Amino acid sequence: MAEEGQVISCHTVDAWKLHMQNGNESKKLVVVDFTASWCGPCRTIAPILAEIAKKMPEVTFLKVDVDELTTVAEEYEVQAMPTFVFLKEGKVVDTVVGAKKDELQPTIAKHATATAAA
Amino acid sequence: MSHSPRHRLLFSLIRKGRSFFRLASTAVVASAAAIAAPRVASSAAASSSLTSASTTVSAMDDLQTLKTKLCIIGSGPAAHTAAIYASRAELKPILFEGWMANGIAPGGQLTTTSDVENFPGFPDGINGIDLMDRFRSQSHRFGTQIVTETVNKVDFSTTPFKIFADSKTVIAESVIVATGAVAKRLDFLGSGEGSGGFWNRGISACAVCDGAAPIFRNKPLAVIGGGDSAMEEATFLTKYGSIVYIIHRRDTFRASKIMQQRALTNPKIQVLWNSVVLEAHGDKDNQNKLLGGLKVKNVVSGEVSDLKVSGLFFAIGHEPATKFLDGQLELDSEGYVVTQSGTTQTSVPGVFAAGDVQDKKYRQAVTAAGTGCMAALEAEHYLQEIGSQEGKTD
Repeated sequence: MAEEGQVISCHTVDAWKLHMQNGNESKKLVVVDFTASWCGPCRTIAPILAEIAKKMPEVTFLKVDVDELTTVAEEYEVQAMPTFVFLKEGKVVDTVVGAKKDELQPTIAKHATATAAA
Repeated sequence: MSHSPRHRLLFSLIRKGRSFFRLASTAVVASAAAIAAPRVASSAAASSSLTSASTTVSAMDDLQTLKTKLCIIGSGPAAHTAAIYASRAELKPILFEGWMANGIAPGGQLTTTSDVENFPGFPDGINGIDLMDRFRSQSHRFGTQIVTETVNKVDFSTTPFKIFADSKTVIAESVIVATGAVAKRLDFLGSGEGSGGFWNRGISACAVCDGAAPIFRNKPLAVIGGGDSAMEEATFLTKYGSIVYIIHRRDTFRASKIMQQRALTNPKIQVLWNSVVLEAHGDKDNQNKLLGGLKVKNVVSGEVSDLKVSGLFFAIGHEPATKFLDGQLELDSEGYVVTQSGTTQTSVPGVFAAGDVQDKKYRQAVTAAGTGCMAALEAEHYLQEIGSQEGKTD
């Protein structure tokens, strides 16, 4: 929708499913930020992710609080926060664990380009 | 941002967010004990460690050199208290809060804990992150310039002093080092955060901080360690737990005789010698939400056994964040900055140290805040002294 350029928070399983479905169908790269409200590093990297989202509307950015959507976090076996999961057409293509801004940017760039090429 | 214990997990302890990532920085802190000086902007795994400080990276900012009367390195209670005092004294301090310095978010160790119940002024307790937000607002309010970059290198060999971060170099007439320390943790299955890990859900590195939590009351607890801290923490925990196991990997403690004595003669303490923890698992009766037990291995016999405990405390030491100083300040044998007794003065006049980076004894937020204040007052005094000699301003 008109949520391009932003990190979309999914607060319910239904919202999650909807956004994932949209993501899969659009064939866009989907980056999911698994976060927690009590997580310091998550807060630190959030503005960085938001900045990237603004500059890359061709990528879908989702945010999931692991306490809110425990089942989703378990499904993706999130062990530590933040964990960034990269998906293309429903398949996990990469993950970045930790507030590693130097790794995050290039990884997003790498998979975003691959999508465009395909 | 207040946390609301919506969880049925009941106890504040549960939601503690030491949100490190078990793989990355927690592991760094722990085992190797070599906190690979991750002084660069990336969290943990120091990719571009100590190479040229000011010429790397930075798509964003241009290289800037700033001048100040006082530069504060750190982001915890010591650093911000120093900043509050210094900014109110019109020293216009520049504070480097770091970008995931040492693998910890700005705010320091308190951002890794949930409820702080013993900081005076908060009878209902306060969330660690919230408390540090307040500290930060306060120092910001009085004019502290806060830079969210990690200091890579310093040069205290001449005055004015130089502090180097990714995109900023600061030239300062005085410096306060308040970079803190981190409790060492061990890394094994179940020791991290998130699902599958019991950090802050039964596993902690601070008995004083967490021992009184309800989940530990009258339950079997365990302490890993063999030094004075371990003895002390184990003894402390006997006030709360039903029994306290000290799990130690060798067959003798390195603790002082008197501390060993106290622990070994305590009827509620039982020692598991030559033992290491392989794994922590959940409490099945509580849907595995909290720590339920440990798999312990005897390194001599090879035997693995189960130990039912509700709490596990690491008491294997702390690592002060002093590697970035590269030997320019006198450190003690454990890496803590040496300060003259009763002051925050270091081996370099004009450089002061506050908080856990120079305190291995008390390590509390309020004592850190106290030394932060002292450091600011001492820095101010120092500046007056050199100012009156040189007669220069700004």
